Amino acid sequence: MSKCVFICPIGIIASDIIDRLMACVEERCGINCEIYPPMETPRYAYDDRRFQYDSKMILKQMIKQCPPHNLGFMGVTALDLFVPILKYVYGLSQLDGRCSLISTYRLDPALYGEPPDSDLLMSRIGKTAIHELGHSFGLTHCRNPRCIMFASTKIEHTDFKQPTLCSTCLEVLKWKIKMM
Amino acid sequence: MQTTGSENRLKRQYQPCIWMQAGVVDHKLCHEDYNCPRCRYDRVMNNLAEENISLKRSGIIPFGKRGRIVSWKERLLARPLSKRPCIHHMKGRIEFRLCHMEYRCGSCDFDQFFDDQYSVHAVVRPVDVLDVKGFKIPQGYYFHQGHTWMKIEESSSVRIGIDDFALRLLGPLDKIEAPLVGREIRQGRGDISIARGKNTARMLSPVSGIVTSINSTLREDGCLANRNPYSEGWVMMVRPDSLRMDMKNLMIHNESSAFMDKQVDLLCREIEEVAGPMTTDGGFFGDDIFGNMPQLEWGRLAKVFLRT
Repeated sequence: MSKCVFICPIGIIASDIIDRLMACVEERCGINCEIYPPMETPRYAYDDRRFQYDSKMILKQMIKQCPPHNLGFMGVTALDLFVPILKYVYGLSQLDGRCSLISTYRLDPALYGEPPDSDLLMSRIGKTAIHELGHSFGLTHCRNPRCIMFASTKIEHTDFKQPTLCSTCLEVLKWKIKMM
Repeated sequence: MQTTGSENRLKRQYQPCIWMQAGVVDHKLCHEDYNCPRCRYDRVMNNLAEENISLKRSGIIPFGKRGRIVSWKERLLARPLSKRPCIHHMKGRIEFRLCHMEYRCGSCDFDQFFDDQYSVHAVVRPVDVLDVKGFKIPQGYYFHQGHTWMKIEESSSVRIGIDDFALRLLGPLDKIEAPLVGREIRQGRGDISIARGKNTARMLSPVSGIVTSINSTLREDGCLANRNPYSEGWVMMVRPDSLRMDMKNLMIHNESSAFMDKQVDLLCREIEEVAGPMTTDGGFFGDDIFGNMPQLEWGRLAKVFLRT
């Protein structure tokens, strides 16, 4: 299996965000990243009552299109995502699977009336991406609010997290990678 | 005790405490506008009176100034019937009127009439609302573990409703039924019934007392509660008969926030039990958790969260 994570832009998304995300994953996880051909805006997943996109439907489509022989297949979109029981999500992934999906929509400081801050935006995107990759490698949510695997419910939680795994999650991850 | 109109006006200015008017204490003025359920002095005096009753029952004669404290009702009941003033007269709201009900206001037709005529029935929307993992907890509301709330209103009555958590957990309800006006409810008993399609459940009453008013709109449109759980979606008004005792089993402020926090964690565990570990990041629970995840099972949710 190639030790590579494919990053797949979904819909319209700035190319520098994809480049910086790839650099972030490579630096923090030591995993090579490659860009996958972009997917079109997933109109099939649009919910006109919520004005949001159903992340589970997009993830199902990604599972169908997932390329073989890779460590992960991560979709990145600027669309506002939800799952039916939650009001919105920053990301979603298959537990112990290869596919994951993140949205930059609610990670953007501008959404909260704050001045544009690309470093803060990238910090949030990086944390969310590594969180979802953690799920792909079989990690579940952590109770430590400083651990990157802590389940954020609001953006303050994401900002409070450190960009790394806690010692327990790190040990679990090492064991999971060893077993792969 | 019998007073004229001018004396009544004077009473309204000086507001002698009920305990003073009953002759239990020599001098005490009211600073709470006769809102006894909120009065600390009234609470302390009632506790003292209860302590003295307990001591007497166990054969100990209480002594000293504290030992002479009896409840104001007991002191007034010791008077002949013709000298027992109605509580509303004692509060300076009406001319002299006798109490024929031995101060059991919950069963008094006049008291009910008085409340209907003069109470403020406007529903006030809460302004100070805490957010606990996306669920609303208004300040000043008391919560029962069965996800019902109670708010102290005018003239010693309380308003009762269903909390934001239960309503979003179970989703839009077809109807919510409270017992009829005049019926007795008991704290911790399933006095409120709710229905969504074929699914029904009962919800626990947060206090004991007599139902004085119900929100009849909820019989046709239970969703009103889902839209405004703490204001227009109220379920019933109740004249409590042992509010202080009942309040010991209710939660407010930090207690209710901590309880709600644990309930959200419990809900996450329930979801993970039926759907596997959650792999999402971000987002509060939506408005119809059961509807979007029916495998959680209505009966199980009622048992775990409504405790019925």
